[in-house]
Amino acid sequence: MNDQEMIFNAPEAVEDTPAMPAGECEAVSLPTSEVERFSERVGAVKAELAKDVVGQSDIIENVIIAIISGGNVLLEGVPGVGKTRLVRSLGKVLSLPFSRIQFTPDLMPSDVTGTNVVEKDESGRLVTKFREGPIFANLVLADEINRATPKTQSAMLEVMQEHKVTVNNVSYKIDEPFFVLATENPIEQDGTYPLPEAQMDRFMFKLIVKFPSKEELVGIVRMTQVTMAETAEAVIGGEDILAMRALAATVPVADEVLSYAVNIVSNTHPELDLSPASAKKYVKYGASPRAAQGLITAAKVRALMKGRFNVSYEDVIALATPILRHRIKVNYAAVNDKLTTDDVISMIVKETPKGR
Amino acid sequence: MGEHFRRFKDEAFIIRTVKSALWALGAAAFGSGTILLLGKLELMPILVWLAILVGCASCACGFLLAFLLLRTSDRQLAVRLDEELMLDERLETMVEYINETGAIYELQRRDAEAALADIPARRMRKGRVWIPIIALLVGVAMLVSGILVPDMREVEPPPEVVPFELSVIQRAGINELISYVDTSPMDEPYKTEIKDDLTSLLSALELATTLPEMQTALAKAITDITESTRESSSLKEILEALWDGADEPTKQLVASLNSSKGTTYDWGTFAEEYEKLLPLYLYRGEPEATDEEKLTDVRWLLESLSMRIKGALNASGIPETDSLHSALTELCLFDGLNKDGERVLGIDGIYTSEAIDSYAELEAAVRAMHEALADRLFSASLGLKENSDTGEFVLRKLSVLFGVEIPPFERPDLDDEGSGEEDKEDGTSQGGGIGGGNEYGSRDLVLDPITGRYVEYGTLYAAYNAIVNDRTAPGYTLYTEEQKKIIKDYFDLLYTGFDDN
Repeated sequence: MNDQEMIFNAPEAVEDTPAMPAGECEAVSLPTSEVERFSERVGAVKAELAKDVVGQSDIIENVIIAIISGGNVLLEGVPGVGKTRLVRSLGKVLSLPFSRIQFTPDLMPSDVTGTNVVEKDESGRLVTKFREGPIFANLVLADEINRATPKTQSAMLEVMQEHKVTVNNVSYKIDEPFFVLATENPIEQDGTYPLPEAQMDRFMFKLIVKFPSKEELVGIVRMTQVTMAETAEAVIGGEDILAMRALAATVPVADEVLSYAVNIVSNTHPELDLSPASAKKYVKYGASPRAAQGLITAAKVRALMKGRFNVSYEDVIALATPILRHRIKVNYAAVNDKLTTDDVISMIVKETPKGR
Repeated sequence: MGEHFRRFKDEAFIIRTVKSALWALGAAAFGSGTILLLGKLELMPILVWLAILVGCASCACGFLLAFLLLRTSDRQLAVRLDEELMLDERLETMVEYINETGAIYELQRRDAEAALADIPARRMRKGRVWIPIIALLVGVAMLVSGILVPDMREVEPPPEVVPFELSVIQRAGINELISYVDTSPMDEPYKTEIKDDLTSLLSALELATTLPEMQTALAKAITDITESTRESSSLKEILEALWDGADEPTKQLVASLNSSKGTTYDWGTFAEEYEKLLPLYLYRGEPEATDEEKLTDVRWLLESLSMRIKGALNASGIPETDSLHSALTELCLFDGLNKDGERVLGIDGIYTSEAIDSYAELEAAVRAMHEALADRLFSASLGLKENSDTGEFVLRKLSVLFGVEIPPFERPDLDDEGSGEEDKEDGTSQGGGIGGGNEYGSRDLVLDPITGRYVEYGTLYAAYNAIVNDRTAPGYTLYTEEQKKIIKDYFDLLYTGFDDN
């Protein structure tokens, strides 16, 4: 096989993430320059986003990781911290058709997916035609997703998992790459519908957008005094993202690192004999297998972004919290001890030994 | 595998070899030291060769075992290096996917090698080197203990060395003995042997400075003189040769010769026994036998005796110069033809006479032969007796000079019947001991220097002792009291406590 070319199928190539929803990828070339371009592209994206989003470098990095990995992100933060702006800028930078869905309690599923409408054709006959909903975009911002009813939320499930919409038994595929970035407001809980576990599991990351620091706030104010418009420009396209995804999928993972990631996810289950004491004490429900898949996939991307060609323990540790925080449920003991989910995850990670 | 990773592999191999060598040396020292220490503590004999062997074996086994146990795979080394050098699992991934082809794997391998390129191999941690070092120190401590710990076996203090210096009296005594032997009637080569032994003894004692040296030289001299004395007066070989398969008369002859008491020949007993032989060589058959029959019978007996004696002489190994040998050879001298032309061996004087053709004449001739043999044997035994007397005298004197006990001679008893059981009832010793108190039997024959005849010792001693008592009586003034005491003490020495019966 020529080093310059490699034909693969993305879901099969990603051996440790068989359930990833990403679709098949065609043959891609994989010269050394491809690796160099990976870094260039990521750098370009970060640079462009920095024009519109001040600070939040961790958030930006994790979002990029999720996009390249093919995963969805749930952003949680108080209003005004730039969640929507980030996603909009991201859409521009990635040259992806962008769609924003503001979830409200009265939003219907068809408002998201689209519906069949009756129209007259050229000959004047009445025909039924499917009108695509706002979900039919490459980058979808689901704003305040927890305000929608469970029925509407479930409409997102199929789309996020399978990248297709089924209306009246007819499936409509969504173009790749497809990426959902949802937001939640942690303050206003009245009249909201907490996302079901099944849907939460569809998000690769849950990122907490914190209130900016004083310096960041100063930067935000200065920037927005000039213009409120997003000035970021497109630097990569959908095909570039797919190519980067394909490259990331080939990054090798040592067995011990893989075992480590798997052990972390397993250790979130208190019912297992080998789970650590912190899990047995503070965790009510553990994470699903998707967490392990997402952890390795994201770790591969992170490794490449750091200039390495292998996944390290550091990659796994860095991504464990965003991967797990929305997938495990802490019990009253943790609440009683004033421990957050992140605290419990940190304890579990510390208690998980490296190596076999 | 990449060049840089191989550098670290080589370094790991060196570290492993060094650690194994430390373990091997520690095991060797521990093994050797244990064997030595066990020996010093008397739990086993001190065997240096075993300690060396165990040390070598422990060294070999220790090295092999440590070398095997300390081996690491490429993966283990990679994991260790990733952790020590903070390489983010580059090496571990490289080793795991070493056989994979593909651009990304190649890039990963290059990345891993590049990470190692600027890191010297010696930065690799040596691991717990202190463990084999401690093992080595423990082994050395055991070895040092095994060498330095004193032997727990009882160490006898060295015997106190008693100094010795040859006294004037002792020197003079030995010189007197040499002169005595030189002027004695002892046969050669025994005389010269004993003189040489005494001369050597004197030389050795002149050089001796400690009691053990004196005792060693004296013991050698005594052994040599005893051997010479025994050889000079030994009838053993001839008696054994005569005894073996002998007829009854010959056995009686042998028993007679062997029946002497003490260290000398008891001529009285010998004579008594010898007298008993005479009838055995006379006709003892039917009185009605003809002269011819009687002659034939007795001549056969005599011929048998002659052959027996001649054979015993040949087998004895006694020198021809020996007086007994001469006597018996002369006895068996006739070796010729009788009047019928038949070869016969005969007692001297019997077959040479053609005139003996009556039994009466033969009987007379046998009696004459018997007396002649008695004279010859007596003379020969006297010679032997003189030899043994001289040797025994020398030994007795040495015993007195140096205050040591010398074991008595042991006479060979060929047969309990012939050894003279009646001798055992006598209180005198059988062995001819010197310094044992029973030296001469009262009936032992000794040469009277005045008359030149042999008399019984008891008679001779009594005669001289009477003179001594007279000369040492209080009224006798020729000698001083001191001189009287010396004379009395000397004669007391000669008195051996025998029964004067």
